[in-house]
Amino acid sequence: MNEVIICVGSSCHLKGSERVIEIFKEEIKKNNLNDIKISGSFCQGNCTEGVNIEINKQKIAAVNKENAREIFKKHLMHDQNE
Amino acid sequence: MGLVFEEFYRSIPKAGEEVCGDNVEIIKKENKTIIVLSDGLGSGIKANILSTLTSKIASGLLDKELPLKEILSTILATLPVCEVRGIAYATLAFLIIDQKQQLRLIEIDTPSAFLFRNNQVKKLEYQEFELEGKKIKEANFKFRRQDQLFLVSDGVTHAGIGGLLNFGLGWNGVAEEIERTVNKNQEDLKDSINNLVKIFNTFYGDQAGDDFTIIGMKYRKKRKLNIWSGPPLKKADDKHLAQKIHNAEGKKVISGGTTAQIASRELDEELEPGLEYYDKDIPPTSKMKGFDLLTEGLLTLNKVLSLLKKYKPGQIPVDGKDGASRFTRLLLESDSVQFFVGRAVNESHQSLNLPINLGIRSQIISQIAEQLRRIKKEVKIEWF
Repeated sequence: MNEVIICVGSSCHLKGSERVIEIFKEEIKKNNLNDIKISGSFCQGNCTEGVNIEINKQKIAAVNKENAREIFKKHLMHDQNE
Repeated sequence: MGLVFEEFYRSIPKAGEEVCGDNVEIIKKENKTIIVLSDGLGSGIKANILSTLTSKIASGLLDKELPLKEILSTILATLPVCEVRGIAYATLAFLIIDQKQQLRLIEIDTPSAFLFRNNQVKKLEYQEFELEGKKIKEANFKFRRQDQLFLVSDGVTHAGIGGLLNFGLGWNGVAEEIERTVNKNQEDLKDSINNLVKIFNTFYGDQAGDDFTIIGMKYRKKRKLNIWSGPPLKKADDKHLAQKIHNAEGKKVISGGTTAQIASRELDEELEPGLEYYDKDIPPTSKMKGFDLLTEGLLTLNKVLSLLKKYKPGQIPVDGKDGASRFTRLLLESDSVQFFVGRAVNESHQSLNLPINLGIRSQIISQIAEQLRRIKKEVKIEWF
């Protein structure tokens, strides 16, 4: 099971976490991936670099609606990458 | 525990009209509540102006405790005359209830009030007299703890006229509907009003043939709400504050992600962040045992402030599942509100170029407190 945590604190929210969540949900649906658990988190203490997310405990900063799909593919769709 | 007098109303405009020709004014004072209902002749904007003028003048003069004769002559002298009908006219019903639960009701050309007592609706006992050429009905009685009182405009007693029913519901028909609805749930007045509006609308076939308004009122126990927002300046106060809100009486809200994390750590309770957006502008709410609501901080507080600014006493609070709407509802449903406000500044927000008023928690909370006081809530703020 892959675990994705996306910060929904005030700062990340203003930087677009709502859109990032939407994109991740879209990708999960589009690719029929049912082994990904997606959840929210509070401030991860790195607001200046938001949106902050964590994929399988690995911290990833500066996610936005432009790079969200790419990050999703890189970290969560290994099979397709190979 | 003390009692408070609560009142809710809804006004529905005639089908096709933008504004309602009925108007309600509610003035809450420390020692009394004044409620005024006026129905302007006709419908639409003209009726709206007539009823607004009438109810504003009446509530303002009642507030200054002028005699009834004075109030009536002022209204009659002020109302603009309708070109079509050659008369200036709006109905008027008003009541004053004081701290000793003594209620005085005056009705002029408006359907008689409905008193719900001992599971039944009955008519009040009136004295009638004439003043300024108008027939006045007056009732005086002591409002009991379990009583509920309803005022309606004639759009309610006429519901169904010419359609479902030849002559509309009439007073007895409305009394029956109120009795049935209130007996289903005597505690939730808001719910009763919403259900009654649905019923009257149904009699009109969902096309109201006239403006209609219903106001309900009753006593209920005071409700207390505790809110913690913001980490304290001194880290040593974390534990103290967490314990304080944990042990407080009444409902509990935390506003702020970092604040919630502190509470979770100090109280050793699991914090469950949410991911559901009901409103794109309001970050999700989360859950923790012992708390009624956990929201994000500043964005939510700002939205709460703007919702409160729009609120008029007696209105039924906004629905909506987002954090700000739920927070606003909790505030409006409470009578005394205690804020615990931490003044530590979130370092990371400093670099964000937030609009200035968004950045300062203490300022927003002071403004929220001001709005709450405007609608006669008891507010206390402790700073940490």
